[in-house]
Amino acid sequence: MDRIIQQTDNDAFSSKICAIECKYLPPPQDALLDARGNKDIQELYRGFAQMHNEYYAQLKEESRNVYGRIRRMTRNPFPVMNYGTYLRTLAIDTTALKFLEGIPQGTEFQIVNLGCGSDLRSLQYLGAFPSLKRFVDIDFTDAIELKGRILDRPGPLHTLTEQFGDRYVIFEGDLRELKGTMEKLQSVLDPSLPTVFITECVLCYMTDSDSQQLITTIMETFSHALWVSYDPIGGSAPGDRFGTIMKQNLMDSRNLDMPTLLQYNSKDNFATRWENCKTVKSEVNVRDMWDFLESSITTKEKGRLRSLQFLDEIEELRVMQSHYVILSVTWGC
Amino acid sequence: MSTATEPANGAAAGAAGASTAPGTAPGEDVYPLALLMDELKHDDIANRVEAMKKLDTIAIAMGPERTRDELVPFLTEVAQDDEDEVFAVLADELGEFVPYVGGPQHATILLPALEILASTEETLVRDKAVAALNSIACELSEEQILSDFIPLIEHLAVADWFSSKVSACGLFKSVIVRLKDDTLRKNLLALYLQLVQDDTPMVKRAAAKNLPTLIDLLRQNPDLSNDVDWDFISNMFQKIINDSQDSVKFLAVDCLIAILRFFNTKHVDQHFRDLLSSAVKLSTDDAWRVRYMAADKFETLASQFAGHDDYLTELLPPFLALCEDNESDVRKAIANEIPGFAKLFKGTQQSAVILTKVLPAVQNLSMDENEAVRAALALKVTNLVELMSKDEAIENLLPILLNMLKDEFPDVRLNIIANLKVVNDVIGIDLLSDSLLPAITELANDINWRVRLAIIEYIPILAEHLGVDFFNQQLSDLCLSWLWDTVFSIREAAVNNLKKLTEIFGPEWCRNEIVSRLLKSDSQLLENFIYRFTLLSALTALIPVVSADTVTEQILPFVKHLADDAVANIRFNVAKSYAVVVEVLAPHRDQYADVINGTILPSLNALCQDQDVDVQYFSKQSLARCNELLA
Amino acid sequence: MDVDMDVPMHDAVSEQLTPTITEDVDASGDDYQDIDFKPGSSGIADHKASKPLELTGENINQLDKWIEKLGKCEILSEDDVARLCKMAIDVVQFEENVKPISVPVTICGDVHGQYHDLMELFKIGGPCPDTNYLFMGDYVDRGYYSVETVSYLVAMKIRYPRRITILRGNHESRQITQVYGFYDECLRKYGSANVWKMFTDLFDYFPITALVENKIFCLHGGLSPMIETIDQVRELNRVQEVPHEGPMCDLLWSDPDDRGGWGISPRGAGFTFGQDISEQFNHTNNLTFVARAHQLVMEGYAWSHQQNVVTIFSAPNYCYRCGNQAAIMEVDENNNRQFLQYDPSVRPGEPTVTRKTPDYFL
Repeated sequence: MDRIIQQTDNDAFSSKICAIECKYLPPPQDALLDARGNKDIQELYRGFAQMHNEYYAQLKEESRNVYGRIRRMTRNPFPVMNYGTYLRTLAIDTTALKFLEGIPQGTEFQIVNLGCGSDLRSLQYLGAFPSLKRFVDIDFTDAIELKGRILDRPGPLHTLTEQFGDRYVIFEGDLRELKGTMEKLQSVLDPSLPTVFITECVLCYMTDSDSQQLITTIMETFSHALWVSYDPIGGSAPGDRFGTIMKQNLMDSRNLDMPTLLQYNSKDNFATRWENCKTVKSEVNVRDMWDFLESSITTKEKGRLRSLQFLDEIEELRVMQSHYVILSVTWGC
Repeated sequence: MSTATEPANGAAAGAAGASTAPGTAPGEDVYPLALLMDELKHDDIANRVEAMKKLDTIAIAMGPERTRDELVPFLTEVAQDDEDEVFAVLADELGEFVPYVGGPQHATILLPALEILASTEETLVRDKAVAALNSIACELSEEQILSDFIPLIEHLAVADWFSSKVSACGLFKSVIVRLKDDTLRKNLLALYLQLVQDDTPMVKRAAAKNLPTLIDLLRQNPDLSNDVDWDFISNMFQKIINDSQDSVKFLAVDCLIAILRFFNTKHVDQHFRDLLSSAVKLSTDDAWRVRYMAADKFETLASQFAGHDDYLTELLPPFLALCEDNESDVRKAIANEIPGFAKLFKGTQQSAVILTKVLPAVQNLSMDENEAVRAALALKVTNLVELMSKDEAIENLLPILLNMLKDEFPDVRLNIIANLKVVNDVIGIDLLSDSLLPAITELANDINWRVRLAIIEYIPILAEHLGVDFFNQQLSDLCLSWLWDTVFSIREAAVNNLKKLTEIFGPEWCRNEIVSRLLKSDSQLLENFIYRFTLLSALTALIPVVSADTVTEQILPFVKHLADDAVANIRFNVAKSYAVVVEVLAPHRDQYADVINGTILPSLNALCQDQDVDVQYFSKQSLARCNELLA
Repeated sequence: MDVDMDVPMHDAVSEQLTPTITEDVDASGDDYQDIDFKPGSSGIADHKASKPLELTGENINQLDKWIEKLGKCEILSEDDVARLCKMAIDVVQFEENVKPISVPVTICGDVHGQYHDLMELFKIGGPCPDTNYLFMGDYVDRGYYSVETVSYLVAMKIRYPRRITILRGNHESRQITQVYGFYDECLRKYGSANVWKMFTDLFDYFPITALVENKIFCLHGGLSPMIETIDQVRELNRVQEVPHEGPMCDLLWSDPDDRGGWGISPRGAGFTFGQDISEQFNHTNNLTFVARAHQLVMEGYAWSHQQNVVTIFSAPNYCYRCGNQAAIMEVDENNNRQFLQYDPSVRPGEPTVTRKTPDYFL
């Protein structure tokens, strides 16, 4: 089961490679309507394409096997998938950037990428923010080992991680084995500093009780934080079969389970896991990704996206994106 | 690759002729290996896969000696790092490679590569590697098994990586009964016991899954096994049944069945008391997946105790508990097993058990909150009738069935109706008919067309049981109404249904009850070509099963009047219809000469001149067919 | 950013065909460079007849055999596809830009390679030739059986030219099929792009609109600001790759919209048009309504613009993940309409269509 979940990282990484190849990512300076974050966006995505391409190239040297899986998935990038990858990437980063803007200039802060897989936000953020004290990447053993080997291979990525020194921490941990994982986290993090927790398609693979415990424990341990999460929701409108079909498709084709997809099937239901933590007063905000596309992306940027590929699936894009959400929870602010 | 195949084929012919190594063959067959190596370095995986698929050709070209010395070592290297698709083909190929390396005596040279493939993380590759290894094992001598194959199993079984251990579990079956030496077999079983107790659930699962196969093999070779073997197996079973992981524990059910089978074959029943406790334990386990597995196999499990009435009686409480399980999946599984389990009881005990224990449980399940449970029950429950006297059935089972016919979920009703035959055989269907009709009517109007289709398909069976009077009064309107459904497949099924009914009730019935009513169809309805088409199809379908007079007097006039229909699709189906009419009349051509020559052929000839090409085509086809029939 | 905002769409697409990252590592990139973009490169249109194909007993036999094979979801050989496409050209090249259709007819929308669902459609609507069909384009791309689907429909078209009409959709195009799957499917199933070339060369000859009893104007996409009368459609030169702009492009790409007037389409081609536009068009051309496909609608059909436009979509559970119903519209000989909705076909013993998962964000 763990392996099946880990393999979803190949999907995520191959989608990112496609979106880079087709020029969706990185976004240009003026992609977002909310202009405040744009300066940081530029900084954050500096060298984005090269970084990912380099990781992909090093992966090939490290494991022809995994490389082959990812390459297979990059064969036929549909516009609807590229849009979605673009949106999820941008939505997570703008949510994080907005939180960071609220921190007084120069204050140290920390970021934790829970279930990071091959995500390279660590390198992006450490490069862009000198006051980022610690970036922690955490995932299953195999995923971390592979990532570690790739980042250790001589080359630009290794040079970069060397530069960051102990600001960058990468370790193995099972989010379901909460005790051990929290001990490790606390050994490298200061719970009183502002901290960003990222879960990008991670909670959807966990059981209700595992994810709830993870959320509650983190909320009770860290005093000032943002939680940003990107996940699918099953859909709650009458006659909405998207979630049921998705669950079935993933189960049939790769034995992948999403235990809470139909339970947290709406934006409101999705938010309850954070609201459930009564001891911590938090502010919760959930939007679906179609809403994000419609109301956060500039007209000019939408024009640029249109010019990249024929998007002949606007209705399908809407169906899919309205079943994915970006959540932002802040507490202790 | 085309250049490589020619010398390859040539060499194949040579290799087939002489078994001595053609390794000293002309220098040109250095080529295949070099080419293969090139292809396998290709960046495009498609090339590498294609190259792998040609391994056999290359091996034949190289001959056994060079295949052993050069090709196989090279492949062992390839097995270290490539993509899964390439691995999968490689594993398949190696499984067939024994002849190419010079026969079984050299077969062990193939093992190292397969051992690596059996350790990969991709399940598909692993499964193929295990299958290949097992197929090679069949050809190995006992000596080779000892010197090479068992060490391979041992390597895999003690590796760090769980994939290797999982693969190891699948290999024991190839060797377990080939070892005549008790000590060696004991060692092997000890190793297997280790796997059963592994740290990772994946390995434990694989071990538990393969255990029944091993037990079955021992059962089939009774002279081999001894008490020591049984200590191990019993130990393994205890580990599995007491595992902390549900996903392991639930596999104990199959192991238990295998063990019981073994003792039944041996006619040893001293362990049955303990094994019964295990059966009860599994059926009442805390984990629902375990209970599910027990419920799903309940009849098979219980049947191992057949003949021991007291043991069967002890299985009753867990059985009834499963019927009331909290998990709907468990109830669904046990609902399927009820008649099979009840059947195991014999004589007077059977009837008492059914009346006092089974039927109350059935009653509850028939009102289960979960529709899938009720549907599962409906699939088999009618079989209980066979285990009861007619009076008992009428008094106790019938009310339940009648209620189920009113179920809100269509599958429940459909499943009952589909399995009514047995009920009819014992108590006659008339007692059911009052409830049957509303059930059928409601299914006939279900929003899902496949439900409508299903009930139509049961109608001929029901008609046979119900008899013609009942049918005429209650069902014929319904059967005709299906002809006007909006979905084509329903109309088509309705047409076939009429034909089947005529085969049951006879031509005279059809003439009076169907044909004449069809001909009086609502004229407003027939303004839509779809319904004219359906009517034409229905009457055409009936032509072969009604009397010739009905055809000429009633059907033909209607067909002919459609010959100048405004819609071309109708006209070319009229043409097709004519051929069906002539087919029936041809044997009596003299009697019906007027009709054939005066009505059908002139009309058909006119249609051959139609302005629509399709009408022309089908009319000419029909005409040709008519001429053939009348010749 | 080095992205040129004004990059025309065809450049964007061809750029996507030579992926930069895999160029140096993946030899399959070479395949793409072999693509001959020139219409007609397959040669199937080299010897077009001067009058419509007349079916002989021999080619009827041949067609019936192909239809039987395709009816089992088996592909034809490359040689047979070449023969099929040659015959098809000699049927469809003689059809008008605005193909006149008489009732009764059953009108269908996008199919998109969902072969099994096309068979379900015939189970609902009745088999051809007993039922007359008008398909409004988009036979290929997205689903896993584009080759089987389009081969089947084309074979039926040749065999029963009076009973079935197949219009061109925006996916019946060289460029779109390279992005959305038909090109890759042809490569996968035939090992080369030849079959793709043949079909895309054939697509150039498909009629682009149909007119049912002078009352229902049928086409894949929608209206065009450059087209006011149906006669203007008749004057277009349709035998070409779907252009990036202009009236022919619009007919295949446009969508109705709640906003009035003409608008920019979010798809990057064609326009959106408001109720004022469709009312005017129907009034000018004395039409009852416009029937079109092109857009996923959850109920399978959807009226818009106060019954001036209807959208019909015939691919249930589009892309195996959207959960929508499909529909077809029966128009009887008295011009009465009836919509039939349906769900994906059930395939007993075939739990998943294929091992491939529909794409999700994971």
